Amino acid sequence: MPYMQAVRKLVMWHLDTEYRPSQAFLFPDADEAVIRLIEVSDVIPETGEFRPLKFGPTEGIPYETIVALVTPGEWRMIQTGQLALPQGWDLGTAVEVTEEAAA
Amino acid sequence: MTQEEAFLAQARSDYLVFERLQEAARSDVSECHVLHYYQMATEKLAKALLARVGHPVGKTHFAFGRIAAILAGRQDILTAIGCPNPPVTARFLARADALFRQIENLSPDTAGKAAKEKGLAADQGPNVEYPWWQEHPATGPEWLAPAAHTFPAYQTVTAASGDGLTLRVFVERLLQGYDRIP
Repeated sequence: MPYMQAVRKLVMWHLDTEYRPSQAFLFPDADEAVIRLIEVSDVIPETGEFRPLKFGPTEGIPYETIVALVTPGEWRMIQTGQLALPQGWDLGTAVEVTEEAAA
Repeated sequence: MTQEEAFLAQARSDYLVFERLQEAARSDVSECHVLHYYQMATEKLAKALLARVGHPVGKTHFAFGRIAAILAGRQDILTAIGCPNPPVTARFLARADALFRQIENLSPDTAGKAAKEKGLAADQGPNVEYPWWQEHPATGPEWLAPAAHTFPAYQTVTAASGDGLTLRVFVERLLQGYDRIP
């Protein structure tokens, strides 16, 4: 499965839930080995920390996947540099994956 | 240390072990062990919270399944732990009640009670600790080991999608932000 197809599939899964994230951003991997996503959710508590979760490749998504859920406030902190991202997560290359783009 | 503080400390420690086991290859660490620590962490977190809000803790494993409804009705707590939109979180918790109970039913005690409710024997409930048995139509009783079993709850806890992911992040952040509960 091509990298971007897997990205769209994963984001569609997330957007298809009742408590869907309001926004999803892909932090592309130039080697197309890892899918890195930040999703903005107003369901979770705000802690001011960035703790992404890692998932191994599966039959459905055959790529290593790292997903971070953040609150709208934490996303603003990331955008203004108040909340640092790990190495390799370049805000300048982040691409919003919308429902239309994912479909 | 109070009872509540002790449950919270143990919940945080169990959760760290869950994370370590989750990172290991499944060929090295079976699903049951990952889920066992997740179930223990969430049960103790729930018992700390029950103590905080004045509910009896008891010696039962039925705890995590009770807190979804309690938290859904306590927007003051949701606000205190940093939920940006408490009504939305409350609706999620009310809807995720089945996920909470799916985790709770991983313990042998709760799995046994669930089996009995279905008219089965108490040792016929799939759980993360002890072997259970099922009736095979041709050969009779067949025993199963947790270490060799695939649990639907594993997908809930570890998949990169769906409400299970939101629940997992919610639990993790509740553990982090617990001290802000009034």
